[in-house]
Formats: sequence, structure tokens, C-alpha cells
Amino acid sequence: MKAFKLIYLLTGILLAAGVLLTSMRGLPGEDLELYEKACMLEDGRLDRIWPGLYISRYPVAIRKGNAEYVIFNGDIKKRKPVLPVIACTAYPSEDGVYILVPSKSVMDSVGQIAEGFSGSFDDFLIDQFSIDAQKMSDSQYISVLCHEAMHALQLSCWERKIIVLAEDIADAGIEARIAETESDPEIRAMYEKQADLLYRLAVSDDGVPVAETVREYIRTRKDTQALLSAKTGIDIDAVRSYADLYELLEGTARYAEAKAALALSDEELYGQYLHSLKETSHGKENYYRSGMGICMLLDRLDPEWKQYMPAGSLSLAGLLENTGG
Amino acid sequence: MLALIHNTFRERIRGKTFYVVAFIGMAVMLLIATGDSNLTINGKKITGFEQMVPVALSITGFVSSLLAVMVSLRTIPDEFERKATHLVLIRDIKPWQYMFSLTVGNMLASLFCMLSLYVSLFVFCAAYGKLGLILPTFLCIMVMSINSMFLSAAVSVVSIKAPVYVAGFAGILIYAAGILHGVLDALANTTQGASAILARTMLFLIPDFSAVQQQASNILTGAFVDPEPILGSLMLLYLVLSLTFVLFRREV
Repeated sequence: MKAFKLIYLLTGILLAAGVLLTSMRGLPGEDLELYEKACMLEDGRLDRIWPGLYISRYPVAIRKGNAEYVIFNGDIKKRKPVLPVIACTAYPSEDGVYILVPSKSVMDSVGQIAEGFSGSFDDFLIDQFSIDAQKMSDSQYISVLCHEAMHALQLSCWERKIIVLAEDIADAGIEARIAETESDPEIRAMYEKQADLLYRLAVSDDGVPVAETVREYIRTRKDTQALLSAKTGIDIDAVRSYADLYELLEGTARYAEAKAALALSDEELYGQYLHSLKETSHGKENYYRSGMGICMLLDRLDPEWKQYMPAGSLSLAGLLENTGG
Repeated sequence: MLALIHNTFRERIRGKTFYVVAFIGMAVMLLIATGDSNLTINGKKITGFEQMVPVALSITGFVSSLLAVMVSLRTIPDEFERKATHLVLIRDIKPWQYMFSLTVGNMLASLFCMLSLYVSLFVFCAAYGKLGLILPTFLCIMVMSINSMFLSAAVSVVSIKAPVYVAGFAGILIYAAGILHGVLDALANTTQGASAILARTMLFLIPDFSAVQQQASNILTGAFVDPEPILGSLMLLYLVLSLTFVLFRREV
């Protein structure tokens, strides 16, 4: 019996040592590889997506479990997570802007949750119980990194522009009130018309977009905002600023995300971003899409449009009106 | 102790439930592995033996997990009900030795059930001339058996103190939480408060079955195998097994 107890105890010690050693390995190699692959886009491809867009200029904190691994200037430092929950975001700190992303394995799970909500629940369950669960692709992960890098760039360069737009949104409950109205058939019809027009303008292969269609898009957009204002009772300027702000922040970031997929030669993923333009969604996601669509449309109207962005308080829609309308 | 383990093992694999479920499992395996099914995953039709192997492993993994719960459910409560405990304990066998042996017996019976289900897969590997698949498939099954053994041990330990239905329910809950571990962990990490802390603690104590399955799959596909989830699950299995040293029913 003594021999049994000894063997049992030794097994426990060996297992504990194994668990301890494997958990101390630091940042998973997969995440480091993906970070390095993302940084390889800095060979000019990221700058073509958006002038000044870089990943390695910012400390990137990759969260795995209860630790964050901050990669910056060739160093990897482990620290306690700065946020209590996992998040993909750009985080302003005393020593600069940080890019916060979960590790690839966590993102796989988050992706599966999103798939489960948006797709079939049966498929989600089948996927969970199968031995080889569907994962987020490497291109998707890198694209998300580029999305957050775009936010970091915005925080560094567009502070004034963001403040001006945010000032007009005095009502904190505006988002909820707009979301409530979105199920209104009239609003939905307007959203659909707007999405259809933007998709045709941004994606269609018929050469340079027709100025009249651009003007029609701008008119539809204004009509939709007027209708939203009338139905919610929110001031029209606030509705406009709300759309402009999220299109500017999230639309340009989604644009960088989509273009990163293209830069990685992932045509299928890029196709999914394009396809999302013609589908209406709910809440802020609509502005992610319309903002991205406007960026793509501006690419077609004036390839140099991005140089006008940092200065002044002009929104994406304002720039489109000046350029194409 | 070895005699007790052997006895438990023999009794468990003699049960009618085992044969019924094993037969169903083999029938399912036969349907999948022969490629006559109309199975589609993500809109793609699954054909060909190599594609069928992971599907067969997934389904059999599911069946054998349920089997592990069923096999382990009644062993310990039955011993107490039949008053067999008294007869064992008067032979100078300590309570912890008895509980440990019954639990290990259950685990071995679950492992045996799992291997029986997979035997047909090896037969098909040989029949299709895919002899190269036999070793990776075997290693894959060994890794997947960690999940079954944990379930069996957990259900056995719960059944020491709780009624059969509670142990069964706990087994199903542990299996679901283990399979959805990654998703639940991500969800728990996106929220704050007492419930999030509770959820994280629960998930810390339940192995990530899904990650273990993923490593099993990596063996099959030749991808990198991460030892962390495998060792983590083995550690938890060890801890659950150690609970048999301290848990016992007073009503002997």
C-alpha cells in the first residue's frame, strides 16, 4: 500500500509540474506568428490601405486567460489584463495607445458564439461536438488586428474630428431609441434602399460610379435620417452626427479590415465584406457597413481622398457629398 | 484493491445497457465509415474514408461519453443498496480503497466501452487498406479517452454522496460544459460580477473537452499537438480521483 501511495503522489507531482510548465510557456506561438504576419503588411500594403496605418507602432496586448502579453519593439512582456473583460479595442493609456486583442484561441470561441447567433443553432451545436471545430481563419484574425490598428491611428490623429462629432450627440439614449425604431417597415425599406444603392456604387464593375446615382444615395441617406428623426423625436443634427461618428470610427476601421483581407490575398474573405454591404443589419453595425461602403466608393471617385481626412471636421458622408455629389 | 477493480470492471461490462448502446454505436459507425450516408457538413458532402474518420470519431466520442455516464451511474449506489459495502469493509479494506477501486473500475469499463465502439473503425481502416491511419487513430482515441474517463470518475464521485439522478444530471452538465468550455469561457470573460466569477470558477474545475478533442484531431491531421489541455484534463482527473480518499457514505 505504501508503494501505491508513493506512486500516486509522484503521479500527482509530475502532472502538476507538467501543467505548471506548459502554462508558463508564455504567448502561444500561433499568436506571435499571426502578429508577425500582420506586421509583414507594413511593407507598403498597410500604408496603401490607409496612410500612416501601422501595427508595430503601437504596443499590442494579446490576452490569453488571466494574462496579457504586450508585444512592442521586439519585446514580449507579461502583465495583468488592463480591462476586466476580453475586448478588441484601442486603449489610450498614459504611455500611449495600446491595441488590445484576445488570443487566436479565444477569438475562435468568440467567433463561434457569433456564428451561433447569426447562423443556424444546429450547425453551431454540431460544430461544438465535432472533434475538429470550425475556427476563425488567420486572415480574419489579422484583419481584426488591422481594424484595431486603425482605431489606434484614429485616437492618435483624429481627436479633434471625433470631439466635434461627439459634441452634437448630447442625448446618451440616442442609440437605444434609434435601435427601437429600426423595426419600423418604413425605416427598414429606406435602409434597404440605401444599402442597395451603396452596394451598386461601391462594388459594381461598371467603371466610375454615375454622379446621379451618388446624389440619389446622398438624398436617400438624408431622407432616412429625417425619417429617423421624425419617428424617434431626436434632433436631426444629432441623428446625422451619430451616423457620421460611427461611420468615421467604425466604418473606416471596417474598411481597413476588409482591405487587409484583400492585401492578404484572401479573396473569399474580402468577398464576404463586399457582400455585407447589400445586407442591412441592426444598431451600430449598419454604420460599420455604410462607413466601409462610403470609403470604397470614395476610392473609386477619388483615389487621393484619404489625404483630406485628418484635417477639419468633415465626415465621410460630407466628403462624399463634396467629391461625388 | 486490484480484485475490487477487476470485479467492478467485469460487472459493468456485463450490463445490458452497455451492449445495447455499444450495438447502436457500432451501427452508427458502420453507416458513417462505409460512406453510404448522405452526411454534409457546412454544405459540403462528406465522402471518402479519410473524411469519414474524423466524423466517425466525433460521433463515437459523443456516444462513448454518454456511455461513460451511464456505466458509472449506478455502481456505487448499488453497492450501498445491496449492503455489499458492509461485507467488503469487514475484510479490512479501508473505505477510501473501496471507493477508489469502484471509481477506477468504472473508468476502465468506460474505456473498454469506448474501445469496443472504435474497434469497428480499425476494422474499416484495415478493410480499406488505410493501414497508415491505424496508429494515429489509436493515439487519437487514447487522447479522447481522457474525456470519457474524467466523466466516469466525476459521475462516480458524485454518486458516492448524491442520488443516481443527481449524478446523472451532473454528468450531462459536466459533459455539456466541457464541450462548450471555450465558448462558455469566452462568454464568462466578456461579463463582470459575481455570476462571472462563479462561472469562471466552475469552468476552472471542468476540463476543456473541446480542446482535448482538438488535440486528438491534431494527431489525426498531423498538426501541432498542444500538451497543455491534455495535461490540464489529466490533472483534474487526478484531483477528482483523489476525492475518493475523503468521500464516503455514513449509511454503511
